[in-house]
Amino acid sequence: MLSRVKSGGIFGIDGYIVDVEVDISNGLPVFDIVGLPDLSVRESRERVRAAIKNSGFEFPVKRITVNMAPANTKKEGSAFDLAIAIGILKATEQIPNVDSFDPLFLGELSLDGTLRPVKGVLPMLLSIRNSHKDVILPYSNAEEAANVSEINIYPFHTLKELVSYLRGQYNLTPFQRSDNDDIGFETEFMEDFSDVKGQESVKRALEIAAAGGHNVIMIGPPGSGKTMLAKRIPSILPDLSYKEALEITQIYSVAGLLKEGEGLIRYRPFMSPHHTISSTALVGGGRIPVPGQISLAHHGVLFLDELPEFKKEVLEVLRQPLEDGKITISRAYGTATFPAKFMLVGSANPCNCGYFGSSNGNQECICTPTQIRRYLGKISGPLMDRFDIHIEVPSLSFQKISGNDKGESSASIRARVNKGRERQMERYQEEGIYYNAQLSAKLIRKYCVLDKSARALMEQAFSSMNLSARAYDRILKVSRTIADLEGDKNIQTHHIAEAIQYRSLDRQYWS
Amino acid sequence: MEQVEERIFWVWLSQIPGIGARRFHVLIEYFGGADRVWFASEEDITGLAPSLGRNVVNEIINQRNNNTLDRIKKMLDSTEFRIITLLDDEYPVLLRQIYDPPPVLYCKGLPIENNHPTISIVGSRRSTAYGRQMAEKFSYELASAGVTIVSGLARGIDAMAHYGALKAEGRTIGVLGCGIDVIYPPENRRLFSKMEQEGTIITEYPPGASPVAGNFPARNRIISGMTRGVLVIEAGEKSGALITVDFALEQGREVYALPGNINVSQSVGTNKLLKEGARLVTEVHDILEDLGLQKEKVENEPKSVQLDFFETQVYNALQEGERHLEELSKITKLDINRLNAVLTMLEVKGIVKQMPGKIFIRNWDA
Ligand SMILES: [Zn+2]
Repeated sequence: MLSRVKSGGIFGIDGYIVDVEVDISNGLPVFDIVGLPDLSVRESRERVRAAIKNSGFEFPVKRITVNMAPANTKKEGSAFDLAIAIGILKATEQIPNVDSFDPLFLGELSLDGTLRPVKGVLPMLLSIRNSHKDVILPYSNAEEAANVSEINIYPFHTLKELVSYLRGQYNLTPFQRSDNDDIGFETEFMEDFSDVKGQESVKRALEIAAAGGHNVIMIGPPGSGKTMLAKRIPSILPDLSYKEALEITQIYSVAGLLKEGEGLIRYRPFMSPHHTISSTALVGGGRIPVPGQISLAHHGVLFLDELPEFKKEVLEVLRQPLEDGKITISRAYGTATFPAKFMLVGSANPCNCGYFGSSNGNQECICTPTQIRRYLGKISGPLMDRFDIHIEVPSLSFQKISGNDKGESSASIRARVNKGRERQMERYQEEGIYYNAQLSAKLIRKYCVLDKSARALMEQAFSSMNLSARAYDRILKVSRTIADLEGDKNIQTHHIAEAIQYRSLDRQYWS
Repeated sequence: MEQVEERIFWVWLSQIPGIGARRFHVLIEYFGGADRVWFASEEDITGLAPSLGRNVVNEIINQRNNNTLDRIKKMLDSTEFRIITLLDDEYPVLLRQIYDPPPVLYCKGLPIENNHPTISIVGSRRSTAYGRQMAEKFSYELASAGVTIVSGLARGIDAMAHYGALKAEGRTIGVLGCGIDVIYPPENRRLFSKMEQEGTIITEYPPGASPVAGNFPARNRIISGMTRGVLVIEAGEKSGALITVDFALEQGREVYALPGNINVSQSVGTNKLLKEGARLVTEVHDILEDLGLQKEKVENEPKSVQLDFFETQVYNALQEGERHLEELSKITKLDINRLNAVLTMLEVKGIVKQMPGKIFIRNWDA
């Protein structure tokens, strides 16, 4: 007897339909899977056999051949368990064939017949939502799957329960997400700027960065709280949209990082890989491509602490995704593309010893000018160019100046950021971009027009402060954001004047 | 002509390996002139072997040939550098008075002017930002008041001392511990070329001599020897600057020291000097008074610069010295965004300077 059921596989974040054919014939009892399965799929034979038996059904002592089509794509993972089990039960006529109901089966089986959650459900359903309408999957994947409203979701806890349903023993209405009306994004954060006393200059710069989506580098002595500040950036980024949340959730789904029963990621991610990270782990890769840290930071923050300590070749691979907002990984079986639109936040000590520029405390910088130049010089020019905003984080001795005033809350900062971001989205409707950091050289000429006095200030500043030429466009973009935060249609002289202060590393004493 | 001839033999004798300033002077006294060493009988020279050593005696004998003399003549005609001997008027007047003045100085840059007071500024190569800033400031102010600044063209304090004087368009002399044509440390290339044009570089070592460690203490005796006093900006416990201080005391020069943070290793040496009785210096006037000079009147208020209300407020907040951005915000009660904008305007107007770490000071050399 022959049976056919449908399942789904995933490559990158693209899903595809897999036809699972099961043929049962007389002969020596063999259980074989063909159609480019990898080791993890072959292992499903043992799980399927045990799950069928332990659920009280009969496992045929015959020759069983499972074919998975298309045969040219490498199949991976445990998500085909359920389809194979159902195929066997159908081929042995333990489940009736109903032509009108041909759902997709996704799920891993445990030995006792329990359905266990699988990776990549959301992106898979998004890929097939126009061609298929019913999906059967483990209960733990239901919330995630329910984001795709075009598809009827039928979740089950056990194989036994599912078989009763397929035998027509009861009716079910498709699963509805528990919080359908009010999706509700995170607005309270564990890490809030109200915990940060003083540091007004740093907070202001981060507010601008958040509003304009600008990459920032924070320079400061050890112990000045760079990490503590970076962790709070997601709490002042613009409110997450449903579309963004869906994109983030897809990546986490593929990576298998959704928590059990988590339907949607409702916060902007913060990724902070250690400086010993490999290029593959940073940007993604592997035999069957998996997303790297830059994709896990999609719509959130990628924090690279101690930037000069990262290997040169690792930082090098960041450049293309920073440009494109995505990363493409080519493999023999195809090309996977993961989105990677993140805010890059770097931190660095100002010099080898860490105390250049904070000579007021008990620690003094002992580096020579050459050593100082060489230290931040480890960060390549093209990467350095990606940082629109340079922040000098003061040493503890200066932080004490600000006393113990409680800081402004993240929510109230975020309210201003939201307003500033809305103005940008409105302005750029026709341009295919969302915020100022994305402005190309051409768009800068269009949207960052200076009046006479602002232009005069730029010229004076460049000649008197020895700013490098590369600073010019970055100052324009940042002043555009400052103007947006102020609700000003035009860039004014004082916006430029403020923006110039966020280019410390272009100053003569650094470069 | 007579004079010219004698200079050749001076240079010749000074370049013989193994003959330093002390032996040079002993030989001159013994024979009655450098030319006399050249013409002396081999026996007379060999007779000195017990005190000079066999090797040095052989060197003197071997170097008595016309090739060597031709080479020296070429050196004296060089356009790359000039040679000042103890016999010349340009020779630094105070340096003549020390116990072992270099017989010959190789020199590049502007002529040495002997009718001005000189002060040397020295300190650690591994210096702090504070130290470098003070070196520049004191040098600038002393040079503005007409003092010639002498230092060692090393990293850190030395370099800043030279820069300060150059900025003031004053006189400054750098003393090397290697040949005049050797740039050491290499990162000071820019400073060297500035010094060759706007200052003076001297050394007692012949062209090509490499900067071996042993040269530097001897170099330091020239730095202190040329000057009325030595100002130590920063010195660790075992800093080379303290060797200069020892020479200064031996030579009867004044020792000035700048007090430093007691927690910082770069101040251990200077604070110790102060404890032992060095002159404490907190302003340039402390030194100028000893030299009988007046401080150049420095305008306290910026001239011909128009400031608006906020700019004046911020400028006034910098009256007592450097301030961090956060401090300025606290003092002026201005929001960071406005303050940042105001600071840019003050920087552009040239009356406020930004230091690394968001520290702002009045631009005293505006
Ligand atoms: Zn340092």
